[in-house]
Amino acid sequence: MATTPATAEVQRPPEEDEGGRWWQSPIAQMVWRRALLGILTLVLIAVIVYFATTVLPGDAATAILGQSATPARIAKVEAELGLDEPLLTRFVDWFGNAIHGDFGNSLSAAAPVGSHGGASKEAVTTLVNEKLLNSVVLIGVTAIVSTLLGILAGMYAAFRRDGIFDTGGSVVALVASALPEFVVAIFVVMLFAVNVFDWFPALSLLPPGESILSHLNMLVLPVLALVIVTTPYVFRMTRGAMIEVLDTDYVEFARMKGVSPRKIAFRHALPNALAPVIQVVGLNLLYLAGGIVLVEAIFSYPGVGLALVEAINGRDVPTIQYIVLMLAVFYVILNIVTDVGVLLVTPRRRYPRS
Amino acid sequence: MSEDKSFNLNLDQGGLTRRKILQGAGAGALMIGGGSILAACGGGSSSGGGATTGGGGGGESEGKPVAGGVLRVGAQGGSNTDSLDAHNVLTNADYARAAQLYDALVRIDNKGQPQLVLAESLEPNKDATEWTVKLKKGLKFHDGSPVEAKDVLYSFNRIVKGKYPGLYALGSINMKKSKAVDPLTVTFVFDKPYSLLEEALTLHWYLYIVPTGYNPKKPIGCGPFKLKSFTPGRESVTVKFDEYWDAPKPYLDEVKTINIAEETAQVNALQAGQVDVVDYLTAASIATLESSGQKVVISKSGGWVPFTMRVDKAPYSDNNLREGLRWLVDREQMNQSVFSGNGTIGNDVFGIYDKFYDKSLFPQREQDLEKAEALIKKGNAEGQTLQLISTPNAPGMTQMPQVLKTQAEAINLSINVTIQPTTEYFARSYLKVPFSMDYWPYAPYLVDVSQATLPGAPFSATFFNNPTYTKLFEEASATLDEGKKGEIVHEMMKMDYDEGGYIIPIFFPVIDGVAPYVYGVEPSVTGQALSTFQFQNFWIKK
Repeated sequence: MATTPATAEVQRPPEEDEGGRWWQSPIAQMVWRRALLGILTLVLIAVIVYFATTVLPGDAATAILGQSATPARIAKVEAELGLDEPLLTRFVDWFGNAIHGDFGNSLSAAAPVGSHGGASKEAVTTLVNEKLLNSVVLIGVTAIVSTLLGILAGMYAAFRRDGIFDTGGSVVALVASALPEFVVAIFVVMLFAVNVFDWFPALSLLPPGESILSHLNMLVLPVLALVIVTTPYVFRMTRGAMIEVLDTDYVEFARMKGVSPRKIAFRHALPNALAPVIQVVGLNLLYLAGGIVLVEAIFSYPGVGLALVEAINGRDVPTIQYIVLMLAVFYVILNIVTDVGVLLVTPRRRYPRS
Repeated sequence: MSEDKSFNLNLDQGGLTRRKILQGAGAGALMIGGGSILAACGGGSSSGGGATTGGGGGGESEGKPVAGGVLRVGAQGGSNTDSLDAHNVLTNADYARAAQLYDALVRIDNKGQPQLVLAESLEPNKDATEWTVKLKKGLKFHDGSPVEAKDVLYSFNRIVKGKYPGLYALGSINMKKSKAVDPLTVTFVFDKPYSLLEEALTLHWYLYIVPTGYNPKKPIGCGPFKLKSFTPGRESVTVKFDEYWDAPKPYLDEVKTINIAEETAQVNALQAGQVDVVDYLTAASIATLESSGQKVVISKSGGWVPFTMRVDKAPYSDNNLREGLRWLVDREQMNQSVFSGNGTIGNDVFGIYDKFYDKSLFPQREQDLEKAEALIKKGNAEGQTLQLISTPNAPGMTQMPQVLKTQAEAINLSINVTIQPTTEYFARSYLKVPFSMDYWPYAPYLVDVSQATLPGAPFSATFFNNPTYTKLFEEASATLDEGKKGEIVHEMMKMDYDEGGYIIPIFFPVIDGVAPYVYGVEPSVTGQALSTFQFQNFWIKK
C-alpha cells in the first residue's frame, strides 16, 4: 500500500468534512475542468476542420458535378451554393449561427421530395440527426452487449484459469481481435443471411423516416459483427486484471476465510479489477464512434460514418462540421465519463499522493 | 471457392464511386481468404440448382410478359446529391430514376441505334439547318396534360439556358428561331448545318421532355412510372403510369430504387432476396451470383475507358510515343485481368456500334514490344518516367493503369500511377494532366467527336486539334448523303487510329445481377446498366 493509514486519515474526502459543497469534491472539480477544456477543444476543432476542408482539392460544386463539371456549370452551381463568398465571411456566418444551434444547410443534399413543399435546401441537422440516432443505437447496443459478455467471460476464464474455457476463449479472442471488422461483417452476412441460414436481412435497408428500433431484425447482424470485434478486448483485459487480483493476499485471505467464490468474484475481486476494464470499454466506444464506416458500408446501414465519408467526398462543409463536432462532443463526454468511472472504482486515485 | 476470388476483388477493385472506402482497407483483403473457406462450404448448400443462366443473359425462355409486381432495384453510385431533375442527371442512381419518370423524343436501343419514342418523325430540310419533329398523338404527362410542341421547346430551352449536359447534343441549335408549328409539330433551327440530330438525340438521358413550367421538386414527366416518394441518398418509389404511350407497358406496378453503396452489399442483398436486380457489378461477382442461382446479364457495351494523352503536351505531342504506347498494350491480357475477359477488345477508335464502324478499315493492334520500344525511343521518351493519373469513376479505371504499368516494365518503360479520389481528380486533373483516363458511355461516332476530339470540345482530354479532321466533321455534319457521310467517318476514324490521343484497349462490359423471376433485362451496348434502365420492359413471374 502506497498510502499509510496516517496520510489517508489526513486526506478524508472533503464531502464528509464540508457537507453540501459537493462541487468542490475532486470528481466534480475534474468534471468542470474537463468540460471547460472540452468546449475549448470543440471551438478549436470547428476552426481546424473548416479550414482543413477548404484545403482539400475541389469544392462542393465540383464534387456535385463530377465529370460534367464544365467551367460554366461550376460557376452556376457555386453561385447557387454561395461558394462565391470569401472564405472568412462564410466561416464567421457559420460560426455565428452554429452557436445558436443552426448548423446551416447541406451543400450537396436536396430535401426529400414532398417533405416540405418546394424548399430546396436540407438543414444539416435534419439530414444528420436521423443517422446520428441510428449510429447511437448501433454503438450503444454493441457496447452493452460486448461489455457484459466480455466481463462475464473474462471473469469466468480467470477463475478457471488454464481450463478449457480459458484456453479456448483466449485463442478465439485473439483470432477475433485480429480480424478486421469488415471481414467479420462479410462472414456474418454469409453465415446468417445469404449462404447458410437466412435468419436475418443481409442489408439494413431501413425505410426513410423510420427508426431502427422498430426494425430490430436489421440491427442484429451489424451488432453481432461489432460485438465479435470489440468483445475480445474487454474479455482479455478483464481476464488479466482478474487474475492479478485473484493472486493478491486479500483474495487468498478471503478464500481461506471460506467466503463463497461468487462473493469473492463480485464483491472483492471485480471492483478492484474494473479500472482497466472501464478504460478498454471507453476505447471500444471511441473506436465504434469513428471506425464503423466499413461495417455500415457492408450492411448499407444508414449511420453517421457513411454520411461523413460521403460529406467529405462531396466537400459538404456544413455537414462535415456538424458530424465532426458531434463526434468530438462524444469523445469529450466519453473521456470525462471514463475518467470519472475509473476514479469511482479506485478511491485512492482521487487524491494527490503526498 | 468462387467466393474467395470475388470478395478479394470486390474489396480492391476501384469501381464506381464510394467503393473506394473499402480500398483503404485493402490490407485486410488477405484475411478474407480465410473467412471464405467456410463460405464456400456454406455455399455448397445453396448452389445445388445454380448456374441456370449463362453469361449471355439474353436467352431466357420468357413466355408472355405478366403484369404486376414490385421491382426492387439495388442501385449503385447514388449519394446525397441524388436528384430527379430531368436534365441534371449526375449520379448513376439518377440515371436509373430519371429513366422511370421521363421519356425523350428519341431513345437509343439496346443495339445502339436511334429509336423514335415521343417523336413520330424527324425530318431535316435540304441543308440540314432545320429539323421538323412531329410528335406522336395522344401523349400525356403524369398530370394528365398533353405532351405538345411547346413542351418540347420548353424542355430544350431549359437545357440550353441551364447549360445542362444535353446542350452538347444539340449542336448550334438556335432556340429563338425554333418554333412550334402546331401543337404536335416543332421546327428546330440550327445556325450551322446539323445532320447529326437524330444520332445526337440518342443521348436521351440528357434530353428528356418535361411539361412547360416544370418544377424539379415535383417532377412530372411522360415516362412509364410516376413518382410516389423520394429520399435523396436512400430510395425512391415510383408507380405505374396508366396512360403511358407504349401500352401495355409498363408491366410492373411499382419500382423501388434503393441506393446501395457497396458491391458486396448489392450481391448479398440480391442473394438474400432483399432486392430483385443490381447494377454495375464487377466480373468478380459473376461466379458468386451464378452459383447461387441468380441470373447475370453481361452486356458487351460500346462504353469506353480510354487512356488519354494530351497531343499538345510533351512528350505526348510526339506521335511516335503515342503510337509506341498503343503497340505496348497487351489488350487481351488487360481484358482478362481487369474484366475476366468479358470486355470487347478495342482498336483505339471509339463508336464501335456506329453504323459506319468497319473493323476491316485498320488492322487490329496487338502487343508488339519491339515496335513499341523502337517508337518510344524515336519519340524521345526512353528513360523517362510517365505520370499516369486516374480515379475510381468507372469500371476498370483503377486497374487498367496498373496493368499498363506492369506491361511497360517489359520494355523498361516506367509509368508512375496515381489514383486520386474522384472529387480531387475532377477538380485538379481531369481535362488537365497530360496522361490520364476518361469514361464515356456509348454514343454514335460523330456525337462523341463533337464532345471529345474537336478543338474546344467540352470534354477534350487529348486536346486533339487537327484542322483536316475538324473540316471533315463540318462536312459530315452538313451532308445528308449517307454514303458520303460514311466515307468521311472512315477517314476520320483512320486519323484517330493513326495519330489520335486515345488508347482504347477495351470497351468495358456492363454486368448486372438479376433474380431468376425477373424477365426482360436484355444486354445493351450503351454502357449503362439494366438495359439502359428501360424498366418498362421488365416483368416479374414468380
